[in-house]
Formats: sequence, C-alpha cells, structure tokens
Amino acid sequence: MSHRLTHRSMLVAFALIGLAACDKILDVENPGSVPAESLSDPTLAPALAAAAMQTLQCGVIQYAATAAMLSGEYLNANGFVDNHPWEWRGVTEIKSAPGNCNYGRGTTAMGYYTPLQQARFQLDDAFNRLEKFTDAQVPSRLLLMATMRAYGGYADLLLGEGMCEMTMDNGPKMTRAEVFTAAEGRFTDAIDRATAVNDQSILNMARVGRARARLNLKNLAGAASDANLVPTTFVRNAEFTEGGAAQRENRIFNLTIRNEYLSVSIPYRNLTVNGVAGNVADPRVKVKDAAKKANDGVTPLFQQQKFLAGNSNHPIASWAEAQLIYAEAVGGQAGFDAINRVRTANAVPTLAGPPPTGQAYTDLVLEERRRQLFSEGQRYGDMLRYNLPFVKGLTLKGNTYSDLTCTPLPDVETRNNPNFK
Amino acid sequence: MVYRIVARWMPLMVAAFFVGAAAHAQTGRITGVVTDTAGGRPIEGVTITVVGDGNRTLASARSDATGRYTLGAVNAGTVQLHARMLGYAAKDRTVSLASGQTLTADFMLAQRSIQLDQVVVTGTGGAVERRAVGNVIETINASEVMKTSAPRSVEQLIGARTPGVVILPATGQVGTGAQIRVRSVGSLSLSTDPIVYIDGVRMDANTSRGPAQRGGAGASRLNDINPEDIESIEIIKGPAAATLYGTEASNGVVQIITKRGSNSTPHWDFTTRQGTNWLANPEGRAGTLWSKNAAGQLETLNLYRYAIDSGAGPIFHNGKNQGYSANLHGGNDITRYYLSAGYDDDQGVVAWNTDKKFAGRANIDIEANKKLRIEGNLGFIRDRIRLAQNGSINPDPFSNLVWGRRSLIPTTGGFGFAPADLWDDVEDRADVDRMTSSMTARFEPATWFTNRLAVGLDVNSENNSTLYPRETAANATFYGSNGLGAKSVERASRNFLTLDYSGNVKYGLRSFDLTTAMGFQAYRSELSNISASGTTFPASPITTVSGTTTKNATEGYVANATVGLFVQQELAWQNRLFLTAALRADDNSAFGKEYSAAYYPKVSASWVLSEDPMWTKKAGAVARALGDLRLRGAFGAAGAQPGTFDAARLYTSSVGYQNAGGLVPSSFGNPQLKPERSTELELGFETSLLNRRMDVSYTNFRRSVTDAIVNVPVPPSVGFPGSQVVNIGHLSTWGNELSVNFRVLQGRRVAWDVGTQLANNGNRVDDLGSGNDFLTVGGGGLAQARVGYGIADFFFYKVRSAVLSPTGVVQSAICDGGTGKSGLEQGGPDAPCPIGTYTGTAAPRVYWGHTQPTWQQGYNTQVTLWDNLRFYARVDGNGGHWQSDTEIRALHNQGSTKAVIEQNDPFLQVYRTIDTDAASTYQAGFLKLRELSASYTLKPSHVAKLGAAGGSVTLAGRNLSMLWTAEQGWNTSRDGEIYVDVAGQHVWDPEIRALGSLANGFQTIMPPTQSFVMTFRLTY
Repeated sequence: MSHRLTHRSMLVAFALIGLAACDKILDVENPGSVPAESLSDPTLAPALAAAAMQTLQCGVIQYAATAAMLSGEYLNANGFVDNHPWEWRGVTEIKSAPGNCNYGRGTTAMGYYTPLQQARFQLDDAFNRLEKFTDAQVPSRLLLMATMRAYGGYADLLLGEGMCEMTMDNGPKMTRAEVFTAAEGRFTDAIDRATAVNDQSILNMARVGRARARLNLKNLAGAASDANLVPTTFVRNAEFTEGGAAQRENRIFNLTIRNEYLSVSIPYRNLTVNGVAGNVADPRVKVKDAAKKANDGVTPLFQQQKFLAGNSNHPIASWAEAQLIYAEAVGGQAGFDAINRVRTANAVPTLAGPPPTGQAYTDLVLEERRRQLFSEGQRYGDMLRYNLPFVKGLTLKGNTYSDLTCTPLPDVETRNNPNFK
Repeated sequence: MVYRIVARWMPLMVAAFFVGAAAHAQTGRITGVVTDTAGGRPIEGVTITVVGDGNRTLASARSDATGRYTLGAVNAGTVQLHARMLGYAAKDRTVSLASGQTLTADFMLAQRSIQLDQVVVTGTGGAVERRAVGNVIETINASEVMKTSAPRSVEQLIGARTPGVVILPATGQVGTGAQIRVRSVGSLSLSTDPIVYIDGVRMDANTSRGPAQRGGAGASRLNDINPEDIESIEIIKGPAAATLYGTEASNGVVQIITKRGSNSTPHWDFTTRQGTNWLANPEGRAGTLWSKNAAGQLETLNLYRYAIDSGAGPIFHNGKNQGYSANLHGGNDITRYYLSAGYDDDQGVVAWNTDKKFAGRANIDIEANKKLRIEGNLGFIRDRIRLAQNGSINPDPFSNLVWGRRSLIPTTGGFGFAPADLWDDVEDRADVDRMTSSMTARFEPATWFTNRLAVGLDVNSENNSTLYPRETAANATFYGSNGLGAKSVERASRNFLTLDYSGNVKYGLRSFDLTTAMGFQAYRSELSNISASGTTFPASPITTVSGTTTKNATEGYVANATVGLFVQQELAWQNRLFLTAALRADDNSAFGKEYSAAYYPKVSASWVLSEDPMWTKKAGAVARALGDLRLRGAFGAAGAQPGTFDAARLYTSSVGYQNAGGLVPSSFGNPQLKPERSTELELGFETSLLNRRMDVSYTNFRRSVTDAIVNVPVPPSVGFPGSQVVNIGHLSTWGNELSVNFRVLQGRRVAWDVGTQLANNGNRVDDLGSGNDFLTVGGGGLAQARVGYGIADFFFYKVRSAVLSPTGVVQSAICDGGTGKSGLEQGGPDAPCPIGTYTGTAAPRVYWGHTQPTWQQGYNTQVTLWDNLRFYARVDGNGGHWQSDTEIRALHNQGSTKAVIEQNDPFLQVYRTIDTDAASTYQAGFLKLRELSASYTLKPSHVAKLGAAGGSVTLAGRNLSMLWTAEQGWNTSRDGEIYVDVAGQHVWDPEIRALGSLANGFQTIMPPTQSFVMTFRLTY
C-alpha cells in the first residue's frame, strides 16, 4: 500500500514539476532575426525597401555577368567547374544553377534567376506593405513606392529578356511577352508615381525601362516615345562600394580584373572604330591585353577596362541606351542621328549619312549596341531578340558548345512549383 | 633524482590525504593476481569487489598492469569476492579471512564477448545487467583497446570495432575528426550523428569545428577527450534502444564512461607514446600532369618529384606523434579518486599541421553515507590545433599539388596556386579551452528505491582564426584578394547543460520482480559567437583584425532546449525473462508553434533461454552445444529534431541600398514542424558455441521513419531563399549485424583469438509527399532522394557509344534509355544522350548505385604467447557505395589530362558536357589493414629498476596497407590508389570522403595517413 502511494505521489509531483518547468526551459531567444509578424511595424518599411533595392542591384550585376558569358562577351578563364557551363551553355548544369546573392569575391558560380526573383518579390512585398501605411508613418512613402515599382520593373524586364519562360510567386508558366507586359505595367505605375513626387531619376529610369520592355514587345512607337524623353545626362546606376560584403562590389570587376576568372573573348578584343583596321581603338570597348595567362593558367587574359574598381557603378538605365532604343525603334535619319549623338558623347567619330536601310540598319544598331553596352548585360537580350547565332564547336578547353540560347527555368523552380508538376 | 622523490613520496602524500581514518579492527588483507585463462597473461583493470548482503559493494580494488590487486582492511570472516572485467566472464570466489591475515586469492578469467551479467547504463533507465535489456548494447573495453592497438583519439578507439558502427574519416590531418555513422543513414536532411554522453551528461562531439578544411572537416570536439581516461564506451544503435533519450536519439547514443578510483592504495600509471605518421607513396600517387608545349608536343610532369628535384620539396614529411599521460587512482571506503593529466603533441604530414593538447581529469567518488553516493567528474582540455588545409585552395598543399601545371613552373614552381614556401604563411587555427563537469548523486533511501540525479555542464570556449599575413608585392598575387593580408576570427562559446533525474522502485509480485523507473531530462545548448574579419594589413607585422583596412563583424546566438519525461516498467521472471515497456514525452524549442509534444513508446523482451530448465531439458544436445543463449527483441521510437529556428518565418538584417540598414527574407518557416520520428524493431540473439570458446551475437533491425523532414526547396519565384523544412517523407531502413569471436587455441603458453564484425544495411525512400518523385541531394541533380530508391543514390547518364569529329566535337552519342518499373534501371534500350542536336526522346539519368556504405566488415586476430607477448591485427572496411572525386573533373577542366588535350576519348567528351561528375565516379568499397600491433607485458623484474610494479610496451601501426578495393580488387596498390573508369584518372584512397550526412563527393581532401606508435606504460 505504501509503495503504491509513493508511486502515485511521485508521479503527480513529477508531472507538475515537469509541466511548470517546461515553458521556461524551452524559452530560447533569436536576437539575429525578425519574425515575419513584426513587419506590420511601419518603422521597418524603409529597411525592407532598402534591402529590396540592394537585392535588385545584386540581380542586375549577376545578370550582366551571366549574360556576358552566355552571349560570348567573355571566355571562362578559371579552373572552377561551376563556372564552365556558362561558357559552353551546359543545359543540365545551367538548369541546376539558379544563382544567388551569397557570393564572395572569389566565387565563380553564376546564375541570375534567383537573385532577380528574390528582388522582384522583395520589391513587391515592400510596395504592398508601404501601400498599407500612411505618409505620416513612413517618411518619403510615395517616393519609396515609385522606386519599388521602377526597380521591380527591372526585375521583370531582365527575367523576361533572359529566360525562355517564366513564372511569378509560385504561379503558372508565363511567356516572355507576359513578363514584358508585367514589367511595362510596373514601369507605368512608377512613371505615374515618380511624376507625382517629381523624382527625375526614378522617372527616367522607369522611362528607359518601359522603352526597353516595349522594344521587346515590338511596341516601337511606345518605346521611341519613352526613350525620347530621357535627358542627355541621365544615368541610373547599380551602386557599388569597395570592401565589405562582396555583394556590394562590382562583380564584373571582381571576375575580370581582381580574380582574373574571365577573359574578354576574341570578338571584343582590339576593336577599332567602325571595325576598320588601322583606325583608333573604339573607346567604348576598352580591353587590355594583360600579356599573361588568366587564373586557369591556360587562357590568355584580356581584361575589360570599363569597370576598374570594386566600387565602379554599373548602369541600369542611361540616356545612351535610351538613344539606341530610340534609334532602333524609329530607324531612318532620326534613328541614325541618335546613333551619332551617342557616338559623339563617347568621342567616337560620327557616321556619315545617308543611313543604311533594312538589315544593314539593323546590323548597325546591333553593332552600336554591342559596343556601347558592352558588359552591361544587353548583348544577350539582343541575340535572343534577333535570333543571332551563338558560338558553336569546342571551347578552348574542349567542351562542346550546346544548342542552348535562352535560359531555361531552373530545376528548383520546375520541380517545386506545383504549377509545373 | 627529482623524479624518484616525486614518485615515491607523492603517492604517500596523496594517500595520506585521501585515506583518512580507516577501520583497522578485525580486518585482514586480500591480495592476488588476475590472469587470462589462455596464455596466463596478467589482466589489468579487473575490478575485484567484496560484496555484502543484497550484492552491496563493501570494498573494491582494480588490478594493475601486472594483474595484481590488493584489498586492505577487509572485515574478517567469510568473504564473497567478485572479479569483473569487460571482455571476460565474471568470476566469484568465497574465501575465509582471519583477522590480521594476508590472504592470496588469484583469479583466472576467460575471455568472453557475451557477458549477460555485465552492468550497463545506457538507454536503460538505471544500471541493469545486460541480460535484462532487450536491445543490443555494444561495449568497447577502452583500456584493453588502448593497450592493444594504441589509438591516438576517441574516434580511433571506437573504430569500427562493433558491427553497425562505421567511422568515416574526412581528412588525414592531425587534429581533425571523422564522422561516426551508426546503422548508416536514416534521414534525408538532418544530422546522422549519434548523440554523445560522457558520464551521463551530454557533451559536444562535433567533428568539424574551427576553420573549415577541404571537404568540410575541422577540429573534433569528440577527440578532445583523452582516450587514456576512458574506461569503456557503450553504444546503442537506434530508436528501439534509444527511446529514453527521446528527440535527437534516433541516430543512436554513444556513452563514454571515464575511469574511476577504487578502494585501494594509491597507484600511479605513466604512459608515453612516440610515433610518426606519413602519407604513403606521394610521388606515385601524385601521378602525371599533362600539357602541350609551344610546339604542340605532349609534356608530362610529376609535380611531387619535380618539387624534390627543384629544391621545393618534398612537400610531405613524416610527422612526429608524441603523448605523455599520468594518472593517480585509489581510495578507501569513503572516498575514491582518479586524477589524470595528459599532454599530446602531434604533427601531421606537413610541418605546420599540429595538435598540442593538454587534458586533465579529476573523478572523485564520495560515499557520504550508506544511502548517498556522490560522483564528481571534472575534465579540462586545452587544445591548440593548427590545420594544414584551408577552405581556400590557394595555400592548401594538397590542392596545390593535385592542380599543379607545368606552365606555372616559372611562377609557383608548378604548384596550382602558390609556391610551396608560402603555404605555411597562412595560419588556420582552432583553439579550445573546455571544461566538462558533472555531478551525479545516487541516493538509495531503501534497497527498493534508488535515485540518480545528474547535473552536467560542458563549456567550450573556442578561438578559431584564419590569418593571411601581408605578403610582399611579388608574392601577394598568389593569394588574390588575401595577398595583402586578411584575417578572420571567431570567438565562440558553446555551452551544453544537462539535468537528468531517474528513479527506480523495485518490488516483487508473486514470482515476478518489477522495477518502475521514472525520469526527467532537460537539455539546453547555447552557441554564442562573435566573428570579425578584415582585409589588407598596411604593413606585414600587423596581424590583427583591427589593423586591416576593411573590417566586418558578426554576432550569432543560437539556443536549443529539450525537456523530456519518461516512465518505464520492467518485469523480470526468474532472472531469465524480462519484459520492459516505456514511454518518453518530449518538447523542444525547435518544434513548430502548432505542434505540442512528441511521445515515444518502447517495449522490449529478453529471454535467457539457456538458463531455462525447460530449454536445457528439451533441447538436449542443442542446448549443450549452444551454451549461453539469449533471445532479445525491442521495439521503440525516437526522434530527430529539426533546426532551432526552422519553424519560424524570418527576416534577417542586411546592408541595403546606399548602406542603409535592410531586412531580407531568410527563412520560409513551417509552424507545423515536428520532429522526425523513427520507429524500429530490433531482434537478435547471443549465444556461445564450442564449449563457450565461440561467442556469437546477431541483430536484425528494421526502421521506419515517418514525418521525415525534407528540405523542400522553395521555388525562387516565391522570393524566399533556401528550403522549407517539411515533415512529408517516409523512409525505411534495415540491416543485419553479426559479431563472432572465437578462441581458436587456448593453452597455457599460447592463445589465438579471431573475431569478425559484419554488418549490412539498406534504406529506401518510400514517400516524399504528394507529387514529389525525387529531391536533389547532390550538385547537378546527380545524387537524389528518389521514391523507390535509397537515400542519396547516384543517378547519371550512362553513355554507351559516341562519335567524335576529328577535332573532338561530339557528333552523336547513345545512352542507356533506362528500364525497369521506374524506367531508370540500367539495361534499357538505346536512346540519344541529351547532347547537341538529336531526334527522339533523350535518355534519362539512370541509377548507378548507393552513395552511402551498405556493408561493413571487420576482422581481427590476436595471438598471445607465453604470458606476456601479444600480436594483434585488424582489417576493416566498408563499401557497397559510389563516390565522386570532383578534383578529377577540375583536372579535365584545367586541361591537365591527356584525354582532354587530345580530345579523343568519346565517353569523356560526352560526359564532360552532359554529366561532368560521371567521369570521376567510382565504387568506393575497400578493406584496409587498419591496425597491426605487438604488445609485451613487462615483468616486474624488467621495471624494478624504474621503481615500477609493472608495465607494458606496444608497437602499433595504423592504416598500413590497402588490401582490397571494389574498383581494383585484390590487385589494388597497397597505398590505396585506384582508377576511375573514364580517362584513366586516379583517386588517392577510396576511404577519402567529405564530412556530411549524405556526403558523396569530395575534392582535394588530404588522404588518411599511415602511422606507427610505440607506447610505453608503467604502473607504480
């Protein structure tokens, strides 16, 4: 009897002690993170917006670097396996490399899908949260909203240009045209809001972006209209700083000069004005022969001279680009004049008229864009827009170039998005 | 002289301190020698106990290196003596002792691997005899292993000496750790490491701390423990056995039991070891690097040889290993003590890979009164490790060697990234100061009621750093952005707190003995770390982060807490049939908000059939042939907890636009998250044959993992990085374990023992949630968790034929189209490989094999000659799996292979484009001569001049020869080098692998080294 009582009382005491102690014992702090529930606090909105803009900057530079490899602006010149497939466009490897923004200075891995998708989500998320707050709660709320829309438009635009097909927010498959339309919508909203708050930089950024989206949608008149409004001095950059996190440094500089991982490919070396032998070097494609082998010890190293430091800014949108969009959209003498305006601005002798017509004019525009926008992530989109041929045969190191052109959706999207199963 | 004084007087001083007032009246003295029945070898470490009523210990002593023991002040009269020792059959003697008499009572013990009466403490709810436990509990006799094969670390001590337990080394560097794998893998995403206890409290046993090395290796916290301090190690292997440990225990439990004092006069033990380790045949294994000269002719380079010839080598040396250890142990009726100190100084195969460790321990037992016993344990470790490799390849000797090039001879001497004389400029250090303390109170208010309360704290203070000093302008280029100096420092404090209470109530009911046990455990781990890094020192003498021109700092804090309750009921009948039922309830801070608690049940049965009169009567000759026979079975559940903050949706800080503070999504979270749950049925038996000269133990287990935690990648379009941790998987694992020990010869002058440990295992992914056929585990979609296949199996394209153009461009390629139910088995029809332009449906990636070992084999033999000379050898290995040596694909990519230069190997040309790792994948099975040793027990006359009572000397070799590999069979090079199927590339050693739960690929990991160690022991 006494045993039984002892057992029972012990069990009860035991359970009570345990229950009382559990809650306290299980308390753990997490001072390094913010739970999602806390984001209804309007004071956190500017931090969300700042982070979203930075993620977009990462996406832009990742796109520029990756697109430069895919389009043949650069050769792989390092020994790291994760970098090679972007040169020979390995289908399976590219599908398994969506990229990210957690790279260091020495990282060779590429890919732009995830950085731009994360930027797109963050920019939309910040916009939606800002929309629910008041101007009194969040300083510069309207400008921030315009900015979120303009930057968000660029996330859509670059994804539309590079990807074969797209999706948003775990949604269904989208065509490239649908993505460009979404981008156009965001830019339109940005233009309206930037106009309302009179922010010229965001306004012109959105104008260039919408013109580029419309060019992709073959809305040439709309593209010309936007592009023509962009003032001469305008440029909106992805801004980088030297030191600190590698994500805040110019990745093209790190890949080409700091680490010697990429070498400018042959079609971009020793370019002279108008491609005439004996002419002066084209200042828009400054390339230096480093007179040595690159990081892999095999590839001759030719280095771009456009971004010469970790804190070199990278253009997202500029007057020069707007002029070339205008030139492409309107053609004829007006377009030709736009080309010459850009050449003049770059101290390149102007072309004498009359302007070429038909394919010759298209070739001229593409060549001007190839040179003017070298290493800015534009050539890849041009090749896809005009179905230009990609490199075939063997790479310098013996890999066979594949037939891949646009970037397929990565496996991580198609295998985990319920709309693709 | 000083030594002699210390040696003679210190024991007396300590003894005077501890012995105190002992009873003298009506007592006598018992002394004797304990020897092995075969060969007559004296046995050290045997516990001789004087037992009183109710089996209560009245006095105890341990035999020394000469086998001699002494029990002083034993009450006169009839005395019951028990002699117990791991690995030997227990023996009892009754003697009559007169007052003032010194009585001699010798023991001869027979080696036995099956010991039903051995007391075990792991997973049982209290100390019980092995016969009462329904699951297998493996016990490693540490003292014996230390004397036989002289392991330098705890992981070498554990080795693969028990079936189902495999040690997977990650690197041959000193100071680094290996992964312990118990019953292979049983999770898709969580750790597969067992949890480790020391003297009843949780300890940090992480195997990869400090600056990350190639393959993820690092400093081992498990190896912090001085193996000389370990008495035994108990291992329970799965959920059926580990239920009482609850969440986190599904991978098994390892319990380290340290040495304790005994009721005896003070004894000193001194041990020194001296040895060396080396990398076998580096020149041969370095192989040939190919290139083309300016004239287009092929050139070759053996970089290891070139470095020697050019004065830059040899780059690998023989590393010196030395260790010194001393302990003092003894005690009286009231107080017993074990005090030890050890210093190890090990050097690896490059001069700057060093591990200098001081370990001290004080284990004090106090019999406060007849009802209360206090055991205090205090371990201190000061370890200073400098690692040889670096996460970065630039200063890494092995990467520099493997990826060298002839074209680099003018700049780096041919090495891949930097000249050899610059490698040791870079310092990777993993320092720790560690205090592991615990206090266990055993309170027995009545013979039927016992209580045990353990409180323990394991505190690690780590100081990890990587330093790139500022190089000269000429040399800075070799280290890229670190060339002008860089440093990263992590100061980490890791605390592990254990509170563990269990109570046992024993009572009888008719012919049954019942024991009710209840317990409460709380466990909390806390990591607090501050890291700082910076680049560019303005001048070479400056090496602090403060001195860098760009600085960065981070702070981290992660805590996890578990509370658990258990109740267990044991029913014993006639001390031969035991039934146990238990239930454990757990809550954990990592569980989702919408999940309350986890409950883990357990039932087990043990039947000592050989002691059942009915069996001996009915089975007749069979019963006599089998000798001891025990049948056992256990069914139980345990868990594996998710990551601390996996359940929460989180945003984390970032540097935003124009350096503004930012918040970025960091974790998608899952509020329904709960622990992974494993249930296991374990059935087995132990028996002895041939007049108890052969012991056999067999176990079969089947495990089902439900709510398996799967890291489902979040589609990038969602906007959150990484994966969502979801309980959607269902896995099955199974296996068999067999251990046989056979005394082939047993004579007075000679004994010969052989043993084997065999295990196999399998696993299968049964379900991955709706709509998921597979998840990618490794890079490139190669290793997959695919429904119907094993965890992390390899899937590659299988090329059958290919046509190349004269310049090496793939014109067409045919692959295996796959067959079988899944359509992914090899042997299907031809199908075009997905390369270039092709017509029809491209071939799929087909199943190549498992990536985790599916079998384990161990064979040991020991010959004892006369009474003092012992030869021992052990062969072990594992296999049934494939691995990928990705440094090979890098060699192809850098153009250093003949096949790549000539562009004429069709298979390589195809694989390089569609499945680059397939060309560097191989079957990884192997058998290695792991241990070879000779031990000699010194006679008192040998050591008398040193003032010692006994001693021994052991010469032990480790990893001396590769005997067999799955790739090259018995023709394998003795250094372990094997060749992959495509393009003739080689792997240094198939045992190399990266550290990680589902690791299957690796790159430039320094292989395991060979070693010889001479150990000299003296007892005073």
